[in-house]
Amino acid sequence: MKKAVLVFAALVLLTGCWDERQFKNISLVLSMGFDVGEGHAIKQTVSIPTVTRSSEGPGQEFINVLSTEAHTPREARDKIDMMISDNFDPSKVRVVVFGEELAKEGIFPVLDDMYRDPKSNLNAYMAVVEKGTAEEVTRLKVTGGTRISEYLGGMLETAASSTHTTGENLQLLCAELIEPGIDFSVPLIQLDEQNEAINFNGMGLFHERTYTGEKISAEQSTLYMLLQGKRGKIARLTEKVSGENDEITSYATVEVNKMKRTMKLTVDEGVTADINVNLQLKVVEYPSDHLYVKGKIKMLEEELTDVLTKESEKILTTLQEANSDVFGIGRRVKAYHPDYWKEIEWSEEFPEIEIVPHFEVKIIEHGIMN
Amino acid sequence: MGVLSVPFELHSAARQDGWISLLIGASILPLILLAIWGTVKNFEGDSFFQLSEKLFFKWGGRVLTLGYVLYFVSVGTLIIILYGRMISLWVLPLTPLWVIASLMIAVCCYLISGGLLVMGRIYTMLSVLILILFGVIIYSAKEMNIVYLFPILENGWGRVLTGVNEALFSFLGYIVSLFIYSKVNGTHKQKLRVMLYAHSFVFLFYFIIVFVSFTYFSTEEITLVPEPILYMLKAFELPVIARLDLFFISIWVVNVATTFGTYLYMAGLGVSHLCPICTKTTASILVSVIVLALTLYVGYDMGKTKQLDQIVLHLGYVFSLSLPLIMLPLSYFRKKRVKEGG
Repeated sequence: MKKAVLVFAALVLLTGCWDERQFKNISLVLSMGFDVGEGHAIKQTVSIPTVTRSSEGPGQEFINVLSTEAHTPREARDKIDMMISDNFDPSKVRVVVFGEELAKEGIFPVLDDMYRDPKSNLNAYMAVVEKGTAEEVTRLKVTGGTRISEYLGGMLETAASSTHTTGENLQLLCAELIEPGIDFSVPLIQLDEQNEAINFNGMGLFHERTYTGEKISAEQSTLYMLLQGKRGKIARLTEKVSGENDEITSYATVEVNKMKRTMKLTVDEGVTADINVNLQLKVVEYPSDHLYVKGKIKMLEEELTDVLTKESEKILTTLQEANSDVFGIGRRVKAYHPDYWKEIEWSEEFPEIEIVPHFEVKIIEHGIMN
Repeated sequence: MGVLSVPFELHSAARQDGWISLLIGASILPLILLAIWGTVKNFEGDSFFQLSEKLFFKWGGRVLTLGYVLYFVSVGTLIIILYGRMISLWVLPLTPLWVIASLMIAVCCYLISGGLLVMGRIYTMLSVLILILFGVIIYSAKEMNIVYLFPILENGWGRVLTGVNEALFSFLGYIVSLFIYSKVNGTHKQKLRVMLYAHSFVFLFYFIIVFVSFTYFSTEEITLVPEPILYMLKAFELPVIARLDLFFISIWVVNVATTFGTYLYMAGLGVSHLCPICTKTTASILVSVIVLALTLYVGYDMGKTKQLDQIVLHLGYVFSLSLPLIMLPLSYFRKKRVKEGG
């Protein structure tokens, strides 16, 4: 009797899941693109790879790119769901791409569905297409047959580890999207039709929830990251220092070994933010050589300090012109000087405040050559 | 159990100062623990039911016991409903509530059928899992941003005090000490120490969770996320575990089982005391069936859940906060009377 009960219980309880999401029944969407539609508010483009099984060897992969227009992303998703044989599954999305025009209108309403769905992958990267549409990028056939999601995702990951982007995923962006007094920037990409490739084009500056159209160029982006206190695995800067008249020998490339960045706020009449960046550098390229000469390193340090300060000032001006408070100065003012915060309108105040970069540069290594 | 929702509740009451509320709440609570301890200490060896009959006379005590049973049943129902909703939202959207609920209730029934000793052993074993939760949360603490805690006291002390209210209710489980005190071996001093240790551990755990989720999410963002810890873990990816939130939720389920099991056990004790023909097993099965029925009646209806939540809150005021404080002076008084009478 007892055995019968046990067998019955096991039969009922151990038969499997009620909720099944079998791989054969779903289509994993790996990258999504959003643009402004012609008739409707939104045009969504997705790329869905399907692998067909062959009897021997690796299966062949087809990439299906679909576009549709709808009022909301969720509606677009349902429409796409009707076009494919399986179920649309966003749980493995790696990259979400926005067309420039849509980014200028605002990205939060579009992302709402992503943030609300427990299955969606918030660890995805986001990028904005400069001078182009997300559809073009998603439809790009990369040479060598790499999937666009893998290509873009890999590119953005490398950009983050080489200190060109913040490497923030959708989740981390959300905080900066919603919180007043903090803005953010998103990697810009551009289609290079000639090479059938995609270029990283710097960081697009956002104000509140919209793209301002201003950007920090790819060359400046490393310094821009350092100013934010963010460093990937490698941070390399190439700067012009006065050397011989020769073009190539007047440049030095340095790698950041260690860095410390602090920000100090002073609030009396207006807000002043001092950004102190303390860098320990390693010279990796310096064609004019002679680093063993006494005082030469000192000189180089001073020159670098000078150049970096000037470059940073340019970056800061761009930020203020775009009214994009990526340093979260506003949130700090709110946090530490709440009375002052209540008096002012931050988006009017930010372009007027004073942000001063201070660099302290120390060269600690110069490779295996002097 | 409250791990998932406490940060949100505190935040909606006291905004970014919720952690202060938690701190205040946690420091008030030992007073109630002392009251409970003082009461039961005066009636050496009596179970709670005998004790309440001595305090409030025979019928008063029975009414009180019935009240406690109802209280535990409603808390249990609320736990099962919140658990069911969480599971269906995050993991199993297609599984009907009755399956989720009855599986959990059945497991807990089995758990408590072994008696207090077995429960104690299992709980001790399962507490290892809490360490994993700790680890996961501390891992995700790397994205903290302390600025989000400032400005401190932006909304004044009023909000903080409303938060204290919320904070107190996240510690409600302490009432169990009133019921099982007489069943545990040890001197009074040891038992008090254990009660205080348990409380500080719970506090520490909640504090870390509140702190991490307050600093991870921005002040505005957290108002949009009712389960901050899960939402936070959703974006992390480990080489072995792709979705940390699902991992967290499956460990959390075990904690739900222990919490619900405890309430079920206490309600079962009460019922078996009130109805002499019931054994402990039949009593707890009876309670389980009632809880299941109530759960299915409320279902996923947000309005009804809110009502139930309010009921539990008010019952909580009476049974968890006020009664221990009333019983303490009464117990000294009655103890004397019983002695003199004897």
